Amino acid sequence: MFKTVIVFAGVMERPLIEKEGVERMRTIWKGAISFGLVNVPVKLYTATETNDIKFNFLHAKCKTPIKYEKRCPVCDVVVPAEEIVRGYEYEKGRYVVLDEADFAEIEIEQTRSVDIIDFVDLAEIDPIYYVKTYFLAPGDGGQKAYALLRQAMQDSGKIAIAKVVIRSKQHLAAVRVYQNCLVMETMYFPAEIRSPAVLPELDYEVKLSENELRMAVELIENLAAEFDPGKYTDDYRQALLAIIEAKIAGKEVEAVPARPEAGKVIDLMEALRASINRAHQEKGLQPEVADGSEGGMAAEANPNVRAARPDPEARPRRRRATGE
Amino acid sequence: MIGVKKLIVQVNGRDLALTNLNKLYWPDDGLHKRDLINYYTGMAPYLLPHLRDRPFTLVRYPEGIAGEFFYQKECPEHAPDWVQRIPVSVDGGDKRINFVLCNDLPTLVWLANLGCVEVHTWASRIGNLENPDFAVFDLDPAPPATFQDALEVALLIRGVLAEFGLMGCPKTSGATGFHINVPLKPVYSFEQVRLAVQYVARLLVRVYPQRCTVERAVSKRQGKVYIDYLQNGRAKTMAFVYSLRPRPGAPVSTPVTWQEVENGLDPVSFNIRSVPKRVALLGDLYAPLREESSQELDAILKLC
Repeated sequence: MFKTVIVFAGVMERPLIEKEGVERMRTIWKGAISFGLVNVPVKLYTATETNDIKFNFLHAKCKTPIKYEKRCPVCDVVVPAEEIVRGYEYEKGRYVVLDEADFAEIEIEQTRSVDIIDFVDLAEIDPIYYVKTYFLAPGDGGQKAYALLRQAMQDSGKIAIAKVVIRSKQHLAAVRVYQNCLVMETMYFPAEIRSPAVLPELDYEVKLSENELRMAVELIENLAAEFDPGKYTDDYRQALLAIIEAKIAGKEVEAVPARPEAGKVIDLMEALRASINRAHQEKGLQPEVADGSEGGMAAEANPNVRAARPDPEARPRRRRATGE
Repeated sequence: MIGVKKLIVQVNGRDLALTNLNKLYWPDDGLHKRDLINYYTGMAPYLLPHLRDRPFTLVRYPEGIAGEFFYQKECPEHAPDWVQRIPVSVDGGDKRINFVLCNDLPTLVWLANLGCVEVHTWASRIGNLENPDFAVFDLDPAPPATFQDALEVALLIRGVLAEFGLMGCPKTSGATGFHINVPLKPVYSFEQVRLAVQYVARLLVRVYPQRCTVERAVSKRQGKVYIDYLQNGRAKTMAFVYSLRPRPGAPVSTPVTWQEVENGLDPVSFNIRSVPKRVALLGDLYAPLREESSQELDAILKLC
């Protein structure tokens, strides 16, 4: 039923960035925070990572990683990266093509700066707006301005709302202080946020008794706790890792053809035998049976010969030897 | 001996002038021409039975492995009278080349003194010049495929050969590749031998295309082990068993056991220093190729 199987091929535990220092993180953007006449040079780093376990899709039959190809169905060729352009479908089946220069033009106008528009209270922003968090590290020569902005924001308790262009897209963003660092949360524009009013399931009314409500509130208060992020772990991920580790320990691992286990050699050997048998059948021949009567081989003196000698014992012995 | 340009020696009653013994041959390894001559002299008892009666191609490195080299099929004119020669037509036409036959120790030492780092011969011997006495599987891993991948393919070839009642003898190439020589009764033409090896090679490509190729275009071999069946041809020569290779570390094309292939091995560890000790201990693992074999290719040829 399934055409593909999924096999774990990643590192078991990816070390967190702190371990080897910030230099391991890649700067994804260099620019400046600008507000009023002040410019604070900053570098942008991704602040979060997804700890998903990485799987590769393999062809179930031979366990080879599936190859993804960008094909043109009309020319019937694999299209190399340099021949791929971006097209905007302005009406069905009709595209206007934008090249790198077109994108670069827009970027030059607005880019490389986090333009602060307002300072607001953090609590006013609903989390639904947040997309992704970036660290803003001080850029070259900007240490003092950076420290000044950070301190001022801390003292005022305000966070900044800004606009920024990252990778050809303008984002709304919130800049705030996190520990000793300025961070930027990219945010959806209000137009990008849907209203729950469109959910038909919510279109009803019900009368709640005071008693029921009081009990529910009490229950919540009983479960109330301080937010302790260390408490929460990814149970699904850990269960999956346990399965993976058990399979590796039990050798129930799908070997990649690049480095097949001994078992793989045997599988291939079976396939080769089957192929030889088919060839015999096609020619209407009986498969040859090795008679082990090779003469003049100096077999006793030569482990080479013994190991490869095609006597009837040879096959099971070979299997044991390679299966260890 | 330092500073001696020329040394007259007697080898089995033959006078030989050894020259430039202190010339660096493997500059990075501090190995000189005298090390080259010493190696072949010491290996002669194992090597000569294999070389006997085979047309020999000289591959000469007069300035060491870093210098220029050339192939020489015609026996040099200044060769001593006692060097055996055999006139052979390479292309089947009238033109004949006088090949050297390296059948004795003086000839081997003389060839080493000419700067023959490598030993190359035909796969047939005079008497049955048109019928090779061994078939060759020449395995060449194309990066990112590795030597280990070549070993894996070698083990599969061993298995296929066993299916046809045949035994192959593995050896390192001394470089990145791996060879399996299959001793044969010298009754098949080069064309038949090539066909049989080609059949096995294509069988492997069909069953294991991820790792095996017979593609002639180097660019299309990437990540695969190239099974070169075309080495089975008349007048084709390749690095012979126990041949030194003009590569850093002075590696040797060395016979190994199938057990070593299964365990994995490092081809660089078989070199000018280690191989003489190894053969003293293990003997000639290529012994099956010394004498005439009774192995036949009929079982494969029926399917070709």
